[in-house]
Amino acid sequence: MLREWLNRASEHLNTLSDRVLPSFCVHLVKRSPTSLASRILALQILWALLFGMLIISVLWWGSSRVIEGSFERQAEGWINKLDELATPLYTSEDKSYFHETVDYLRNFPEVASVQYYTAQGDEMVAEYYRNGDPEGKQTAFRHSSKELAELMITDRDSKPQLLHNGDASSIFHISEPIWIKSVASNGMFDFSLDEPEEETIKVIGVLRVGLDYSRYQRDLESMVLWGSALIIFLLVIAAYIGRILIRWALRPLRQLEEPLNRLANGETDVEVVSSGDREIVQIAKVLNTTIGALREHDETLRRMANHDPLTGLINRNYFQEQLELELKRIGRDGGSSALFFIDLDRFKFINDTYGHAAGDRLLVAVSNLLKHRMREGDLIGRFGGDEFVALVHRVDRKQAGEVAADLIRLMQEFKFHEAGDTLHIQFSVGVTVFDNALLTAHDVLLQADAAVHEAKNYGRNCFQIYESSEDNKVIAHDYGWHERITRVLEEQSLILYYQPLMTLGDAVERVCEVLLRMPDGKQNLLIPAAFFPAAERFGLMAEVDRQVIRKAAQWLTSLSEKDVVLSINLSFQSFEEKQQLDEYLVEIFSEFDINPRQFIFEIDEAVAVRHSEKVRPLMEKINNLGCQFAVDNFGAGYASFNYLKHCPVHRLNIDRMLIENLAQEPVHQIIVRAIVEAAHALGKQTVAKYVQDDLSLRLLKQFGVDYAQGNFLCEALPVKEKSSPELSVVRGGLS
Amino acid sequence: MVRLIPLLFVFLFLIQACGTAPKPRIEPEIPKEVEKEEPQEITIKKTARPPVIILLSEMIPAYQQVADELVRILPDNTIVVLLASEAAERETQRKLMRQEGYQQFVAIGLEAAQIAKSVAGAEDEVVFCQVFNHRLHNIAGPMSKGVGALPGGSELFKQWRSMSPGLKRVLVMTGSDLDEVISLATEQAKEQGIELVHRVVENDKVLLFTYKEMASAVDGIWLLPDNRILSGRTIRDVLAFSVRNGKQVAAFSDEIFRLGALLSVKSKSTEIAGKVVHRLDEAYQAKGFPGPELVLLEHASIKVNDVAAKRYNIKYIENKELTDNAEGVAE
Repeated sequence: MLREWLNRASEHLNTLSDRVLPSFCVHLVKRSPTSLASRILALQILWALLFGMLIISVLWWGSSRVIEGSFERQAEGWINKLDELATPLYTSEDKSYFHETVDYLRNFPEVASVQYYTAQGDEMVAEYYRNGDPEGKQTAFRHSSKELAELMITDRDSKPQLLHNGDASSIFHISEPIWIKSVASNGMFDFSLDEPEEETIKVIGVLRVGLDYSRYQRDLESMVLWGSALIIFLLVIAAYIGRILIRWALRPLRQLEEPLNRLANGETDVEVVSSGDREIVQIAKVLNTTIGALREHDETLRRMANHDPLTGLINRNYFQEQLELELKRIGRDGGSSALFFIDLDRFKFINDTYGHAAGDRLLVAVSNLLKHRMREGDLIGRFGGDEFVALVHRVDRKQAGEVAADLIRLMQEFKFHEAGDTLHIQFSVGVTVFDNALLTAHDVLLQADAAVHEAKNYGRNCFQIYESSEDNKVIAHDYGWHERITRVLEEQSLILYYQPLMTLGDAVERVCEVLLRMPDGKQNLLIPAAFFPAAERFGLMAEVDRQVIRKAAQWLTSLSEKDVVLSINLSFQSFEEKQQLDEYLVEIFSEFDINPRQFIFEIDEAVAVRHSEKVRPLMEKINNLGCQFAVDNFGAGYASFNYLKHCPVHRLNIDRMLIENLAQEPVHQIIVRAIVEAAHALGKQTVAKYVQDDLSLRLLKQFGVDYAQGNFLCEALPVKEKSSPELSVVRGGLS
Repeated sequence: MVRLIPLLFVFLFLIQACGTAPKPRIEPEIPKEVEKEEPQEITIKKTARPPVIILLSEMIPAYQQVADELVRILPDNTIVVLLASEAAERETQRKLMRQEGYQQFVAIGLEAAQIAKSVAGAEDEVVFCQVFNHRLHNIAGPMSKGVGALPGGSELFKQWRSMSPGLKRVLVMTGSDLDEVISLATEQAKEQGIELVHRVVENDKVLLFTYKEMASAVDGIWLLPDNRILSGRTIRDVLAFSVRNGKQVAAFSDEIFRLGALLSVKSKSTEIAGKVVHRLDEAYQAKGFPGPELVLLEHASIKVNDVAAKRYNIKYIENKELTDNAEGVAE
């Protein structure tokens, strides 16, 4: 309960502190982490306090009992003493002896009063009061006749007593008869200590004593209080010393603090050194093992974050970072370095002809080739697709040209064997030599990109070194794409189109694929093929994807129908962004109040397969939000169902290559049928894109494909807010 | 079993009446050593006399030893009667005794003295003994006289002084009517250089109070068996006080050794019996009952508490004559 109160108080104070209260007030309320030593000490103190209180209670109780017992014995002793002192009072007329008795009694403050009465109790023989008679002057015995009669009983072994506690005062009174006894047996001839003879008892008077032990009680209380205070003081001292001792004893644990802090801050080059205590040695061993594992994992993640999983080369982001560092180094130390942009010529042809797997093998082979050729300190990266980059340190223009020529020659000698064919692969290489630290990495990349474009324009299989005379034209050319795309993104002027999917089976969802157009500034709209490459190259695809998602969400919100599902394409760059896509989607769904199930994200099969380790975790997160995934271009190269078992994919978009001319390609029909059967067996739906004729459509329906899409069925239509998507099929004989 | 004893004696009485009563005989103890001061020899007169009837108040050693000694001394026709505890039986005994017409009674103990006095005729003689305070109970009379119960002080003071040369003043407290005993004791103490300080007290409380008041002025206390002024608690208190304050105590019973008494002083049954027989003889031979109301004892049986002696660092030569409970009579 205390923690909840503190947390609430902390929250309130946090709110206040932002405006009014100084931070130290907040710090007072916020609880800092407890110390093990403090906790041990607190427990010890608590235990010591409890034990101390118990001891004090027992001491108090015991002392009180002892004192009470002592008082009782003292009272008994006083009764006997006073009984004896009463002898002259009852055996002679001389009362002077009583004065001595009074003087004697004054030495004992616990004797508050003494009264001697006659045997009948009706007359007082003598009296003594320490502080005056609080009960008023009375001459007769101050008890009832019944009580007096009780005192007159003599046939018991011990004298009867009356005890009376003062109502308000601490004085208690004891009344007892005064006896004289004599042995009955004449001459005591048969005297025996063990068998006492019969005795005759006679009551000659009554004694009443008032005893006041309050002083002793006060002394006891004072003693206990002082004792308690001393115990508490000693406890405080013990606590202080205990704290020091415990902290000293736990010192080896504190030695772990610094390396653990460093580990918490992300450093994995930490080693925990133990002091020699057995427990700490064990902990240190385990920690070092864990740190080693973390370091490896960190390396792995870093490798995964900074490297291309296919080729093992560093990826775009990391390469750009290194390029920035190189520019800083040049700014610091001077000199020049060169950036090589290496583009495989006709890679797409090989990919399409021999499949994605062959394309991957080619990429791996080329990357190995480049690694072997480059110096150890040089950086080689893959920018995606068939683009490679290389950063060669400390070379001038001449040396850069030599390296480029060497690369060209290397490639000319390289032969790639695939499917029984021997393929000659060629490069287009763009080189820029930079020595100006004022340039940014982006500028350098643009220059290299411009150079490689120039090389391609020159017929490929060659290299071009970026020349300042060409800068204006090339940069303007390339700078145009970057600027145009950047401006469109800033203005959020991307235009959405949609193409509805036709339901062939039992599926009930109304699905539309979202398509993209970019205004070219001249009243024309560019299709994705026109600007996507540049956007990819400039790392702008993630932003494009996010704007598409936002615009699609806006469109959905404006619709009255809430059962429309939008299928949106996602690029690989969306999986590389720092702010993860799932976080962005949460914002979108919250902002527009959209059911996540209204979104299906399409990912290219090549991306899903090649980058599965990076893509799959994010897919699962997005799937957990409620969105679905579709694999696009399924069957183009991999057609592997294995990864589908582990990926949260709900739909397969069969590659256009298999759907185009389906009616004329029996093999494609077999493949499509197999894909559909396998997909259904795995609980996945299938979509056939690029349907071109009615016969194909019928075949697709016959195969069990769930959806069909294509301009034959319905052309792409512009998205208009508050306008429901037109889902009726324009062409086709199935309607 | 005790109740049968009177019947037994009645039976014996009847048989004796027929002249065939058996005579109990006790072998005398012959002392091994005889010291310088010999106890008074008792003359045994076995003269022909009418039977003497001995009444015992109860069967306690103090009475029985005297009875045994009397039987040893007196003729065989002596009758010993133990008074019944029940009043009815006692009344029967009284009637029987009256019927028999005994002329000489020996009463051992107060009750026996009272019975004997009531049974005895005007001409009959009653000698009582082991009666502490005969005057209080009006036992004595023209034909009823006794032998003192309190032992003589000579041996006591002699032994005591020999053990404690520094003993100068001894306190003795009694009730009233014991002047004669105390006077004799005072003389006896004086012979040994001891001042016997006597105080008359009314009850046990005054006894204790007086003792504590006077303790600083005396070296010891002689505790007499005056039941009027003693109680069990007072005896313990006196002894406790004495031990704490280093006062030597001569008490009337060995039992009080356990409380710290140094000496015990008891009368000798032989002396008592001898004096009783002497009085019987005198009475029988004379007309009337000559002699004082009470013949005091002159001797005593002294015992020393070794433990107390060690505590007081007293070294003494054991006087067998004085310390043994020798009841024998030199013949």
